Amino acid sequence: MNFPSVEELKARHTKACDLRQVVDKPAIVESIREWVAAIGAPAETRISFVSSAAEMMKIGKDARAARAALAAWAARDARAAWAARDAWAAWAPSFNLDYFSITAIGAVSLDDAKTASIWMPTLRAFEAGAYAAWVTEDEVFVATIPTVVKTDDERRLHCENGPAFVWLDGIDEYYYWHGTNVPKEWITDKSSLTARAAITWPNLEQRRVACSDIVGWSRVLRELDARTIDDDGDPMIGTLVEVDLPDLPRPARFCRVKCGTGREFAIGVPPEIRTALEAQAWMQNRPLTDYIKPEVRT
Amino acid sequence: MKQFETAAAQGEISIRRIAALPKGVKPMTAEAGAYIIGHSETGHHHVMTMDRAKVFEATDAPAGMRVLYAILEAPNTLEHQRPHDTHEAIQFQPGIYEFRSGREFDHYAELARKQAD
Repeated sequence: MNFPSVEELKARHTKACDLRQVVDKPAIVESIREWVAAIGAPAETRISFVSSAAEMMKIGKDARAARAALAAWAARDARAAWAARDAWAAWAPSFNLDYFSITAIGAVSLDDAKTASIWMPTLRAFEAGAYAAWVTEDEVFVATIPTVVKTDDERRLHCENGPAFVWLDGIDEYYYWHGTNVPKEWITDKSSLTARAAITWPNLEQRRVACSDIVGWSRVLRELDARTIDDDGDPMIGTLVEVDLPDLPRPARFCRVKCGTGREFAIGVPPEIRTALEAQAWMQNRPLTDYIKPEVRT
Repeated sequence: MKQFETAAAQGEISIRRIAALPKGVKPMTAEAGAYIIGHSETGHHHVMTMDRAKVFEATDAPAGMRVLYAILEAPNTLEHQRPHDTHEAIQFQPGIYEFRSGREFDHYAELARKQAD
């Protein structure tokens, strides 16, 4: 059998990974049927579509898929894998088409025509909009690609006015800001995020998004009446600022600092810290005299 | 890939080459062939392979900190497992190293805690 070149297959796979293909259910059924035939499944195996999280959970519970078969898959012995299905444990894995379809590309690159012919239909199913599949004794359930996938120029999940990722009914919508998962309210009701909540948010990455992008540093510093206590001059050592936080008897100090990726963070430090350099030493639990500036910082 | 002699940092992990393994440490267990040097609650760990490496954890780390030590018998690399905004990998020569996860001060709880990301 002749297969497209590896370069062509990689380009097709990369395009499909954008998840912007139009879902073509008849084409998915045709490809999945070709795949199950190739792995030795019974000809009467049914192919159905999943539309909700509840269905997915039920199928996952019912699906019989065990580690023995997983090992057989890994060994690329498809028929053995199918035969081993009865040994599968209670947890039911899905076959992620974006992942498994790579097998076909790898097989072509190795001139392994047999394996390529088995797995090439999964690439076609993925291109037609299949995203995940669950295999039971007599049925293959297919979930199509997410209905919403929004990204920025760097392909990070991102949407400034709605969910960035929506999949099956009953699964939470996911809200992202340039690749960082954030609470829904930060996107749908930006005014609900206060300067205090932003600068004291427990997760550093989410705090960075809140302070830098959603609330904005200028508003955070203005609303909290921020004063600069010390500016090191080196942005990777940072600036020590003091702010008034509600319900606190004394001002709180933060070190505003850039990491090796160029992003800016605010790290809380004790009120007795006097300089940004001292703050850096405290973060490492070192006396200032033992602090060594990193030669490289990534 | 970055290289260093004495001190480096990858995100919130500060790294320093040291002369000897201190007392009061316990061996750390690897996961899936790698040691998690810096744990991320979102799964974006900082990891080092097990290849001729032994990692230990300090049993008396101060509040909010995790202090690890690595004895490397061969060159190794600290990788950041995030597909975007990735902290560049840092290469290590054979030797003994200390890793400190950064801490921060929670003004409301008035205590130090790990810098969570």
